[in-house]
Amino acid sequence: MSLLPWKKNDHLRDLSDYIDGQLDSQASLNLSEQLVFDHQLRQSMSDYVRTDELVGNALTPTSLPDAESFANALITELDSPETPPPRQRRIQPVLWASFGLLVTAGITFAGLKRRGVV
Amino acid sequence: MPDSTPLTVYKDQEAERIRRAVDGDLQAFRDLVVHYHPLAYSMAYKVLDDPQDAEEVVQDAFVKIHRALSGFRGEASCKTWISRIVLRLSLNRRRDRSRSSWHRLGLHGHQNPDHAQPPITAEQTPEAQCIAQQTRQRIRELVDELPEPLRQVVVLNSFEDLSYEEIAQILEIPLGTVGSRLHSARKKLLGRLRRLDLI
Repeated sequence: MSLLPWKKNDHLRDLSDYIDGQLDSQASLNLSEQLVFDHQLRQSMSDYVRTDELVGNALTPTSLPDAESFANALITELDSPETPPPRQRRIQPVLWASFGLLVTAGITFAGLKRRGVV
Repeated sequence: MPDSTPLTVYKDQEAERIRRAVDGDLQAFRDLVVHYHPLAYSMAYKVLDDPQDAEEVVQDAFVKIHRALSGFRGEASCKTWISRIVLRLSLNRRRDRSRSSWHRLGLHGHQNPDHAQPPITAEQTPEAQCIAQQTRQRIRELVDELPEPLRQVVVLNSFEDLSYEEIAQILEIPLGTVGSRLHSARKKLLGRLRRLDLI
């Protein structure tokens, strides 16, 4: 076990990189040697590896959908000509106002004509 | 010495497939989809923990990828590029989902009766299956409780074929940050697993 407490953290960080194969060959060799003699470091490594296993098992989907069927359905969808969404015909407010004015003018004209004004 | 390793041949094939897909060859794009679908689906599932959400996200992702193919310049590898798109869409979906009251009440896991059920093996008793399922769920919750940056590296590192370099490219962070985040995440997870007597 390392006698220097601040070195222990460095080793744990190295251990993390060591598990993922990210240490350079010299650092990796040094740590491998240390693992032989340092029981606590070996235990830490075993715990890290177990943590990774548990997390990996918990995250991994138990089954995968069929990639071929997915790809076929996607290609069919992409290959079909795009149909633009139907445009909703919406009467604009200005048209409603014009129509209202026209009706008012017609009624006024009819009233005036009945009184013989025009 | 000529470099004709299988990896190089594979990379050449992929480059050719991508080039044809960029040129609008749907068959080449289909091959690309078949090749990357397992990675994309697993990534979405690992973030979302819901098969249906994962399938929808993967579908959206490949439609986006198809639209964006002409802009793919090959600066990142295709795997990294696809992973980045899937991860971003999955995180968006997760964020939107966390806002819905259905998920806030913790009911989302019960929509699908097959949700996260591990395959039944002949050796496992129903009791053992139940314990395994509860343990799995508890570990997922521990991962979910991690701060987002740590959670992302844990999810990506759980893919055996993603290197630190690729994780750094997907998350657009320095290489050293991947290592330090993974170390922090492992320490936190280990502490919590010990408290639950799972280690």
